[in-house]
Amino acid sequence: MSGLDPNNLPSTVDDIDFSDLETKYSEKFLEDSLDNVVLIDNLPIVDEKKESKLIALIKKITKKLGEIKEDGIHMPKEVVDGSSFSKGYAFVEFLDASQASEVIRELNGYKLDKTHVLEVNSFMDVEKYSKASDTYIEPPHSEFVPRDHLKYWLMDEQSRDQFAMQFDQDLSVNWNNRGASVDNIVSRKGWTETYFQWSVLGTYLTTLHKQGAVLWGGSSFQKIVRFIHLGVKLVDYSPNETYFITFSPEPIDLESVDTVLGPGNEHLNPYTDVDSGNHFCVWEVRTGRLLRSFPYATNADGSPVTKFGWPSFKWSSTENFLARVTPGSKISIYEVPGMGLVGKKSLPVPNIVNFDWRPCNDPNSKNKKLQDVLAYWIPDVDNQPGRIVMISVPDMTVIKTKNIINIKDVSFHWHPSGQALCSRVQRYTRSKKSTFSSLEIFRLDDKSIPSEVVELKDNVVVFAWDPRSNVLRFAIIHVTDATPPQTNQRGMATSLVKSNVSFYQFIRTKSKLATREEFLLIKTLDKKNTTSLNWSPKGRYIILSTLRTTTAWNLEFYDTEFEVPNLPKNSVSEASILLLSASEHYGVTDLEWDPTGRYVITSASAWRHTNDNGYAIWDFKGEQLHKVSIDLFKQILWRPRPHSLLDNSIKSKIRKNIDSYSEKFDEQDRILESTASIEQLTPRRRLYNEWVSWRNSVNERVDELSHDVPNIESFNTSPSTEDEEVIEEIVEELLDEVTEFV
Amino acid sequence: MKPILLQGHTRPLTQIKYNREGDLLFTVAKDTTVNVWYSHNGERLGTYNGHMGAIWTVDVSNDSTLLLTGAADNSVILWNVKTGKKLHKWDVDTAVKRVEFSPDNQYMLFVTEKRMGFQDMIYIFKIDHNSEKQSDAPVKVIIPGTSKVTVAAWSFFNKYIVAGHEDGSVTLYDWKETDPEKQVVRTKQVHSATITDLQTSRDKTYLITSSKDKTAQLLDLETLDILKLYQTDTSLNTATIVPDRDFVVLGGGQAASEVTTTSSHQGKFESRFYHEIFEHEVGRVRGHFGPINTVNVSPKGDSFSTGGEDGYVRVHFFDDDYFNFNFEY
Repeated sequence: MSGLDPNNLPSTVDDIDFSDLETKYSEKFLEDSLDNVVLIDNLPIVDEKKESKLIALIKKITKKLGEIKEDGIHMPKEVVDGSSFSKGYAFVEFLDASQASEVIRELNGYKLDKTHVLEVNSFMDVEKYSKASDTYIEPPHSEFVPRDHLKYWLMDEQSRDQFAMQFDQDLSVNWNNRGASVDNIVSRKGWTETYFQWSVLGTYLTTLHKQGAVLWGGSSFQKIVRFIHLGVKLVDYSPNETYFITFSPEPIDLESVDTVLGPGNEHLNPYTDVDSGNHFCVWEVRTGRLLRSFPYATNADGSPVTKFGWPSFKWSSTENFLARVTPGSKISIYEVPGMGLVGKKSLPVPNIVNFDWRPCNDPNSKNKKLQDVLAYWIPDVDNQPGRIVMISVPDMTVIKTKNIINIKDVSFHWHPSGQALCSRVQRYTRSKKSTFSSLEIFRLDDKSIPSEVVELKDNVVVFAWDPRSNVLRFAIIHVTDATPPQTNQRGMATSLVKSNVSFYQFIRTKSKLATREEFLLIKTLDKKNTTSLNWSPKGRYIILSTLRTTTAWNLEFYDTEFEVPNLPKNSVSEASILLLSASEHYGVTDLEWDPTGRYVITSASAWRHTNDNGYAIWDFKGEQLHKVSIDLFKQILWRPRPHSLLDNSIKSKIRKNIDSYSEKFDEQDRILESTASIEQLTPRRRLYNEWVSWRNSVNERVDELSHDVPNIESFNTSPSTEDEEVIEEIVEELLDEVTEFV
Repeated sequence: MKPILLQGHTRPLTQIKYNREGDLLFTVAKDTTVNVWYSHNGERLGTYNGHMGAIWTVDVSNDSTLLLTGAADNSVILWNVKTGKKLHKWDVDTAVKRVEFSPDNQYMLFVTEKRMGFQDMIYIFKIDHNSEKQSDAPVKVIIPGTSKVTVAAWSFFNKYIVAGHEDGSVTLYDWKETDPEKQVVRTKQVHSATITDLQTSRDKTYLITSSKDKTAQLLDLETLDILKLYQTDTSLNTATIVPDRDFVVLGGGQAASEVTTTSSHQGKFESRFYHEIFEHEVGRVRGHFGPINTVNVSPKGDSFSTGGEDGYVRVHFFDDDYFNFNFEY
């Protein structure tokens, strides 16, 4: 106000310079009031007669997304040849900014009709971009930073596998040396704040922090990328690690993200206003870019669904689609990476409970046609039978439907190759008093998608496919009473449930008249207390284990393909299921095969109990190779491997010539063993020599001192062998007395 | 071979000790009785009756004529081993946690507990071999004044007394020194928790300590340098050095209050054999159903015995596997 001179006051209002006040307040005013306004472009051009019709249409399409203010639609007009025409766009004012952003998200790209595809933008954006500078400013050039080879661990000369392990505050990554020992690669204190997770193909190690998730990789475990998501609790990868999903129970708040980033780093904030309040974030791994964030799904009454299974967003095997179910009403399928709804709307499926995509672990799969298929199920409603439906995406054509009555629950178990789907259906008996299970198995390798049914008298609680694709075989745990056993606060079962384990195999018998295709029972092992089934990732071998109970810790290693002599083709034999070994790992809570099916790790986590925490490494036959007890041991996970690049013909060729290959490896083993024993013996030799020399020095010192000690004999502490007397006692015992009369 | 179970105590064992020849085994427990057994067949030779409280400690002289016991009735009694006669009784202020004859049988040490305002002390008495009467006056009293003393032992030629403390430290005392300021030769922080047992090698040039911190350690008795560390997965109550072979035996287990559930192997009530030089565990012997409180190996090297919280003493004879065992180096 230095310019204010009482002697020279402006004479009229027009003479006053308001520019300082304008710049100070004008923008603020605009921001406050106009972020609820959207600009809808590409509307049809109408004359006055049709204007009200168009306004009604706009109201109709925005009805579900937000409420328009009274007189909130403003459509500029121009006069052409004496009559007034709209200019083909409209400003629409909503009650608040969040409604406006919802409208932008849902209606941008909306097809009004063939020629009119709406373009919807925030009015503030129009303002922002009109102000954008016209001169191009080159973004700063960031220096190239060389990165480690992300898949370096696959090139290990001995084809060893890695595992990561967490105890107390430490997280370490280690090599497994044939189960006999481990080599530490890297170990860091406080590397993760809660738990860690490998990416699905093993490229990245994921650590979780209050601020978000960090991905590490390469030979030195560098930080690859970080995703800011405050309070992140759950993470998930897409099948080829291209995308990453995070979930946090804390709603996204832009300001607190800015606070975490620190002043001057606001440009690193990945979120914009449309993200605020959301809980799920989808990221692109390679760039670290946020693709889209999502709120909780909503129930029919508008309340958020805060209880959901994880992953709640499921990826199709091609990574082209991402879908989420809203129980009871719809499946929302999004295109990736565009993140728009397929067909611009969710797929309505009344009463839907759950769905699952068809997986595909074989990139060389022949059956490319049915690649993106999902299956969902609906329970019985109002005398309508329940249904299992398969649709192909994105055309949404139903490729298979099966009606089933009295459904209590269905869980989907896709064969990892995607060639079959087992729906484990829990059903009520006619009286509705008890339940039983039936397994509805659909085979997608056949064009007609035939289904076979395995019906059981009791309840199947665990189902597991043999992961091989050339043989369809599965194992189940079935029990009379499906109610889960009581557990303590940490999820350890305090009682045991008697269970049976059965093995089934798909057999096709061709006769002249017909082809029989069915799943045959191979064998039932009864009266067990198995709670978990773990097939080797290479199939054939399976472990029956009792995990997370406070009373039993059984581990049973089975071969399911033991050679049975004279077994006719296309038949099964009980004798092919052979127990290789039965052991116990006290307090075992978790079990995992290494990705090659050579080793198994069982572990007892401090998250579940505090007795004897640690882990053990076993070979596939059930021989314990290594056991470590570590206080506060929490988690151990093998590093996954990518899918094999070899196709089946090469694999079978290798299997055929296994002898010639194994010769080479046996030789390597021999060399390793001899060096290992030398490596072990040398330090022992050294320790022994050190000990001997220390003993000699002590003896010398004692000898020296002994000269000054009077009556040295009295210090003799060795047992005297003189006048030792051996007394032999003969004890006669009367065992039996019989009197016989002759 | 099947172990011999000695059922002569009704309360937890506190200490067991072989005599020099290894033909007799002396056992004391919280039930106030002292038992002596033939070690080769487990036959009880007799008892020594006279204590009024839990007996914490026992030692037998080199020539197997004198027996010393210390108890919670604030007394130490010297017995005639052969006749069972009480030769002398010393009354002190608090419970006696450890007694030991010097290697030449001329002296005795008593460790008394810090309790009820009384200091913890190490008393040293001279034995009068010519008279049955013993002097009530100690020749020396060491008052550690730092962390509470839990265990103590004599060194070679009576040169030092070595003591283990509640805070895990070990102190070497020159007990002949009259100036209390100069008595401490050196102190080392060895364990991170209380030291539960301290036993010396036969020639008393090195010692083994066991601790609640789940480790046992082998120390040079003069320098107190840590020679070896034996890491276990349970808190330890006792450790001993096997004479003539390169092994140590450790015993312990979860305290009764911590054992909550059913399984017996959960308590870790096993005697553990470790290789003395390479620190590797080489074997375990199961049997007790409570923690092992005390372990001792026969000087003949043919057997070892354990005393447990369960009130039993188990005498185990080594089998061929033990004698044929050779650690490759």
